[in-house]
Amino acid sequence: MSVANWKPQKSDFSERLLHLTCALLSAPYGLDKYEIYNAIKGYRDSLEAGDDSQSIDRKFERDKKSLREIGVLVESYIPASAMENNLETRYRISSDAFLWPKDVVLSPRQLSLLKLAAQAWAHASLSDDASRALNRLRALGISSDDSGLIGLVPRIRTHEPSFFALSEAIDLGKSVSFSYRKPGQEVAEDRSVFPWSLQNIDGQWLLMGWDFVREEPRNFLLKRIVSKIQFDDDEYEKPAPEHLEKALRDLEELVEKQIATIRLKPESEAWIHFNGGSGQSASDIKIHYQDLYLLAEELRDYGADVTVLSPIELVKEVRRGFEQVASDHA
Amino acid sequence: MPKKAFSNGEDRFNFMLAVSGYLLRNQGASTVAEVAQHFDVDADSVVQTLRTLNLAAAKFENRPEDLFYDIDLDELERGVIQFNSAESAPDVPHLTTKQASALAAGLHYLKGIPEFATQDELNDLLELLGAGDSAQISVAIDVKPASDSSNAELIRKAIIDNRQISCEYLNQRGESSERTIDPLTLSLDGQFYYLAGWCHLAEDMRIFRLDRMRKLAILDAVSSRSVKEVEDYADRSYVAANSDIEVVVEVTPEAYRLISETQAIAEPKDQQSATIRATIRVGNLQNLGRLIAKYGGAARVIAPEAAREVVKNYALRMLGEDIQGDLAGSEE
Repeated sequence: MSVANWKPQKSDFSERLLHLTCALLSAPYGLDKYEIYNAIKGYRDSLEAGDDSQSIDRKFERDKKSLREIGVLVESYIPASAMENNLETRYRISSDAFLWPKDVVLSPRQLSLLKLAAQAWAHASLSDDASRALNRLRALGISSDDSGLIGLVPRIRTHEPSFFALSEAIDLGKSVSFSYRKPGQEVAEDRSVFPWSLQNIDGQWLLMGWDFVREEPRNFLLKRIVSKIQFDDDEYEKPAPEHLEKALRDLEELVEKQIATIRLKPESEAWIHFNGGSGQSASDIKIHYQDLYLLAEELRDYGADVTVLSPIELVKEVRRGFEQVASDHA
Repeated sequence: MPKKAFSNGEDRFNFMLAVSGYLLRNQGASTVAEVAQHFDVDADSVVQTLRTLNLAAAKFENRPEDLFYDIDLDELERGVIQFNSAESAPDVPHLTTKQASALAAGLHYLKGIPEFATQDELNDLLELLGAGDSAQISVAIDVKPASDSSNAELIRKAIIDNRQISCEYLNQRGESSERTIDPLTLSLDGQFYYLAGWCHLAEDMRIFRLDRMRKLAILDAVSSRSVKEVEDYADRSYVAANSDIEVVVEVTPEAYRLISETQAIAEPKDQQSATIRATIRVGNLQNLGRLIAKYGGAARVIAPEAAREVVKNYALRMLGEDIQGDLAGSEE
């Protein structure tokens, strides 16, 4: 598209947000709805087209919400002189919402690291947020220095469709409900959870949260969520950080406690993988695990290269998986 | 590679504010090319954005229309940016909590990669991101790479020093070979490290999983390939080979990762609709048994029949059952 034939799209959403932001920033005492609707083309066009006031109000509400999600907070206030007449509600944007980061100077090297951190999300759930963040940082005017980072391509993967909704819920501090299917169970259970954090451990996404029914912190593997994530209406107070820290500690203790012993076929792929670059070359090794079923899946991947010695539950689960696959394809 | 700066309205607005903020700080003469390069986008995105900014206006009663930007369009046509703005023109907004979380998670991920950034450097940045009103973000999303990284350190060094490497490599079928590789990019992809490089044995670009390598050594010979070749290879590998076999599979959420690379997965309505049917392509049916069986029932092959047979026989073999004379068995 060349400069000459470019035309703005009619009542474009992003333009309306821009005009609204500029207009509100230019009015130290804010603007009321009447002024906004008449001043800004995106609304004025609707007024002139004879749209009813409710639909224009809805448009304004949606725009305010969009701005808030983008990080520009439109405040409303009622001037003391107006008594409680809602028509006199005025809207403004505090200029504090801008100028990030305050008094911070990023070095070119730091910007490159942030760039790499943003690129790790390429094609994964938070890629939009990461690339928008990067453009905001670039606006500070620093050029990145990528010289020390050549040849490195980190990629975060989010295979589970619930990831994005859960990250939103964490961001908004909203509790969520979903169906969760525990291994070995045909039917999923409904769970109601206050989400704290998403952790990726051994390549698996885990939601840590407060389970409202069991009244204790619980972990949920995203791959076992079998429904849409529903946002609950009530807003809850964010739980104290101690709860989360304790949940993380408990998880570490669990992993420390649960040990499996496996036998590796010498010189096999599993043998190289589990012995790693550590230089050791043992055929019987012990591994700590967090979830028996996940470990069984990982071990099944190595097929006959791995024989599970203990615990017996793991031996059974590995076998159960192969039996299921054999009968599914019989 | 320059690209379009935005794909939707939010992106577009975000980019407007970013360009506005950038030009507020760099009021001197800039060119479209400079701004495009700075933001790593195509020139059209910059021109389009500046023209949009130039139209930002508000009309209040009893006074002339307020214009918030004044950009010389004739100069813009020549690729030169003459930028003036009203005092109230918006600067770039704070990062949102979610944006900061995304960057913080990326930084956490980088912490697991050795030898290129110090922990202090990354911790400083994490602190900076948490500095605003979002004290909790450092724990909101956390990614810890699991894979053993000892080979990664050596390969990183070889890439930076532009040297070839040699190693013993065990492929998916368990065949071992000696390789000499011009290493190009090291990627930490979810759970595993991968090296993309020119393989002297295959005389082509190849992707290697680091946990299948051993006896890794950096050679004196200089690597002569460019990173560009990795990009070309990535483009090329999106085009399916003629010899690929299409296999119809059915997966429950536990096995979504089998298909998530090849198709977008929407959130399911309920447990029933969470089971998805999809077509995947495999180069060799013999690899399918392993691919499917690991999920222990969460992934099933629907068609073709030959593929079902391969998977069944693989599972039976893993159970130690005798399937002599069978097609799959005979190819071992």
